Amino acid sequence: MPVRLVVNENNYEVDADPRRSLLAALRADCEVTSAHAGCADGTCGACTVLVDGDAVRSCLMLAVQCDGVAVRTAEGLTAGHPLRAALPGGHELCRPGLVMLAAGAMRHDGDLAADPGQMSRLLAANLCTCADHDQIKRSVVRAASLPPGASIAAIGPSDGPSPDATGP
Amino acid sequence: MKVAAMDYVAARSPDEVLAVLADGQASVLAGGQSLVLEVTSRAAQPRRLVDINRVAEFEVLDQTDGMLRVAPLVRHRVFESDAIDGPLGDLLRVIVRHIGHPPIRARGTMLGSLAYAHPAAEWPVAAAVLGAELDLAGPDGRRTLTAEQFFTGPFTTARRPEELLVEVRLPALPAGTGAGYAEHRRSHAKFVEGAAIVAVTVADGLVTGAAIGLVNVGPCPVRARAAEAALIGGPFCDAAIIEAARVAAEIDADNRAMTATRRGAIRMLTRRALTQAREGV
Ligand SMILES: Cc1cc2nc3c(=O)[nH]c(=O)nc-3n(C[C@H](O)[C@H](O)[C@H](O)COP(=O)(O)OP(=O)(O)OC[C@H]3O[C@@H](n4cnc5c(N)ncnc54)[C@H](O)[C@@H]3O)c2cc1C
Ligand code: FES
Repeated sequence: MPVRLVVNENNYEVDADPRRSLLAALRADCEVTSAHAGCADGTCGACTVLVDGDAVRSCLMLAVQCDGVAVRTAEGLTAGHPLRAALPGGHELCRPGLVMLAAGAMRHDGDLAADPGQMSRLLAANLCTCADHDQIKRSVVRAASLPPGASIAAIGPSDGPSPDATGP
Repeated sequence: MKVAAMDYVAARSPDEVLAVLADGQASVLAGGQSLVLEVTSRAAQPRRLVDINRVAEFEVLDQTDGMLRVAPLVRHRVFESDAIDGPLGDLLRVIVRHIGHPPIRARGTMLGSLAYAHPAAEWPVAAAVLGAELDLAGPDGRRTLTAEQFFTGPFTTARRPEELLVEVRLPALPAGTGAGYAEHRRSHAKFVEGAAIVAVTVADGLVTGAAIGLVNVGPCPVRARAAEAALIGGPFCDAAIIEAARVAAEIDADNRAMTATRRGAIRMLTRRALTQAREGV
């Protein structure tokens, strides 16, 4: 049963054993390297992508479920998206997932980006195993509030106020 | 040749879902926030999956005549909004914020959680506290069960394999009801160690109704009936709350798995949830 995935507006025909996760199909067949398999059980959020506009764990969806549905990954953030500033060349395990978590929530709540406290509480939904988690999260929080198209230089580590507590 | 180990059907209508379920060999795929992991890890190997996510009729949430009707595709996150009014809406809102994370709540469903019957899940206990009616649809028509009849053990319910949990009805809480929720959880990515869900109704200064539910305290959702009885008829005061919490912690007296630590936690959680409920009366 072939399945058509629409990832960042490109079409891919993927082999869809119905037991295959969306995450596995994205990485193997759709040229996506930003979504990572961290825990593969829904806990960490390294696999977070947008499905039909919602930030979801791609390890907890089946590829067959996404036949014809719009999927967006960090690679596909549109040119003017403020969160592009939080994506330097390389991808740490957690960063693209944090960015997509924020991107999904910002679609639902236009005021979210202006509220660093709420933004960093949201980001507590995703985990990270490296030492830079707080700094990465801060860069996502700051990028969210930037004007569209701002550059990575605008979010150096010492720039701007530190957001509130990083959640529970 | 590779043989497909599992079939997948994306149903378009309620009838199609029931038709696929009819031979008892299929599993319902709702939010997938429990089932997908079981499938991808091969922990569960259903012959067939029937995906209900494209059945538009199943997204309905309806609140009329003092009854909230929840269909199979109503996601957890719907209960975060102020779509549901009154004390019932307040209680569902305070509970749902603790279920998983936003991406889990964007997919997971209330009915999926009830059907899954995880012993540490919140919705099954909420259903017991609120006096929910659960409708199952199968080849022989519909039947309605109470939460007590529906939950039969950990991850086990009275649902037959060919049945769909098709609607859950939650009656509105009367005016003058305060609701409360308190939990002990090691991490927000985990299920609770324990939690208390309460709804207490006060009229003319006296408690006229009390429901106290305990999460992850038994194989099925637990109601602390003796503690409820201790509250009813008296004032909703500090002393009454302390006494009700003490009685709640005596639950299941013969169970040796209920260590002093767990009983202490039940007492503390019940007390906190009741205190919160009093503020909302
Ligand atoms: C990281 C993480 C944290 C979580 N934390 C919590 C938590 O704190 N508290 C909590 O309660 N849950 C938690 N969950 C579980 C989550 O709430 C699930 O959404 C829920 O358990 C199942 O709902 P679902 O719609 O995703 O069902 P699915 O995963 O699609 O299905 C679960 C089971 O129910 C059956 N089923 C589903 N719908 C129906 C139906 N209408 N009729 C008959 N059978 C049906 C399926 O066949 C399957 O056996 C967590 C999950 C994750 C991944
Ligand atoms: S890999 Fe999906 S949540 Fe960790």
